[in-house]
Amino acid sequence: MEEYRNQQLDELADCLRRVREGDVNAIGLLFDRYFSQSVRLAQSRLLDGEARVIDEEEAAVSALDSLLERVRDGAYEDVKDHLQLWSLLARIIDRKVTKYRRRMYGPTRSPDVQLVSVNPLYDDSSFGGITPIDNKQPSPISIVIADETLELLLKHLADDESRAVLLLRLEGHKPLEIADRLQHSRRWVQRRMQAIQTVATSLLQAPP
Amino acid sequence: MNLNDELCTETFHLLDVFEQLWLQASTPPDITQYCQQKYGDIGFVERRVAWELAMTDLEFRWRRNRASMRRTTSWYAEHLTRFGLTNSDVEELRNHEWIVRSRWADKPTVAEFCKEQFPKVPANELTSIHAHFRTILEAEFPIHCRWSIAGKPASEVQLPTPCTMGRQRSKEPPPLALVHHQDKQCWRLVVAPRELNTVSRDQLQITRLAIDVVEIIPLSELVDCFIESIRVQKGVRSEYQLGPHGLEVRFGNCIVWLRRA
Repeated sequence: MEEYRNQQLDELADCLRRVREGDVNAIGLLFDRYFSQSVRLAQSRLLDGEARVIDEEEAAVSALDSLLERVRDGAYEDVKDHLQLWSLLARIIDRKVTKYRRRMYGPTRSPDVQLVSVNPLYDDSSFGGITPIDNKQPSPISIVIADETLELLLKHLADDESRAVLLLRLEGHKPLEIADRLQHSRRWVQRRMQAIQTVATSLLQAPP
Repeated sequence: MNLNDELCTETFHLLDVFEQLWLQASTPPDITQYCQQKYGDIGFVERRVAWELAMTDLEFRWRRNRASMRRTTSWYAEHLTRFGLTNSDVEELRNHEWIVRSRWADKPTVAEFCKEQFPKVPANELTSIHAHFRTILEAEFPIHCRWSIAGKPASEVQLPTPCTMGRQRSKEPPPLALVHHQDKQCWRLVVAPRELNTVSRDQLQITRLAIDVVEIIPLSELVDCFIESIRVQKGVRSEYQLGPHGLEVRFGNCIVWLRRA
């Protein structure tokens, strides 16, 4: 298992080195590996109706282009495994989608259809249990803070599986879906999520 | 402070080993034997290890989807009590069985599941038990209800059931309101304003029967109800599968789409 992991790391390191040297085949390899999951992530970031205007494939291609260009320019030398590379790419995709969305709605307009959700499901509140969803995008500063916090959390997690659970959860997957994807039990995912929560709480309480 | 060390507890490892036995071995591990071996370990009962193991074992037995492997909650209640499985653990295990079977296995209806789990409870006392399992189903696998009036898209809500749908009554909040009637143990979704008389005040009732099955009863005599383009008469109970494309219900100039999230 360890040997396989080392082999994977070596392959990635070699691939990134070749990208930095401008090897077209290496760029193609990384592109092939991440394209479909990038499209899926971009798609999951789109709100209802936006998919008709924003092309998730375009966002994915643009994000991959940006990543590979930066790697070619010598950035991200500390990236060692696929998980780190993927979390980096996920962030770029997120920003691309936000950029496309801003372009779609223009500088001052917000989507005019008000989305509603029942929140919480069994709360008989004064507004009939339905609350409007805030359509505003997070500010660039809050995105940066969220990114840094996520990076710190990923660094402090005990194993790759916990990191995978966290990233899938952040992509919006429910515990049952994560259990399906990672081929583990529902309780296994819940235990990992509790552990992640413990680490996150400790990090928040730790002195800066 | 090394946070990772704190998480790598003995219990965590013990449970992961059992999970790996399930994932790697061709035959299922024997849970009673495993409990017997580990029972002396520190915190076995306090940390509810038997319950954790039962949750994993039950899930994989149903997920493998082979009839011979399946075990219900009663089996664990019978065999694991001596390892510290309590009544509340059994309750949670039963809720877990309901979720697991709905998601990965035979997808029973609420009524079938309750009849199987509580064979001795008389039918008239099963109503509150049905409501409990329906609530779990709706929390884990919600139905989204989207509707449009006069061709204009209105809104989307997560729909709890049983729920009646209709036009605003005099003392009700304006449309886009979901109200819970405590006394009737049901919900009401106000989809149209008071003045829109092409929609009835009580138009239809929707009840969740299983993960992908809903029961719809048209309640209005004056405004016809069409489900998947077929007219359904007032008071007729019909069951519908929520397929991948959802279910379309029309009444007056209102269209409602139901789909599982």
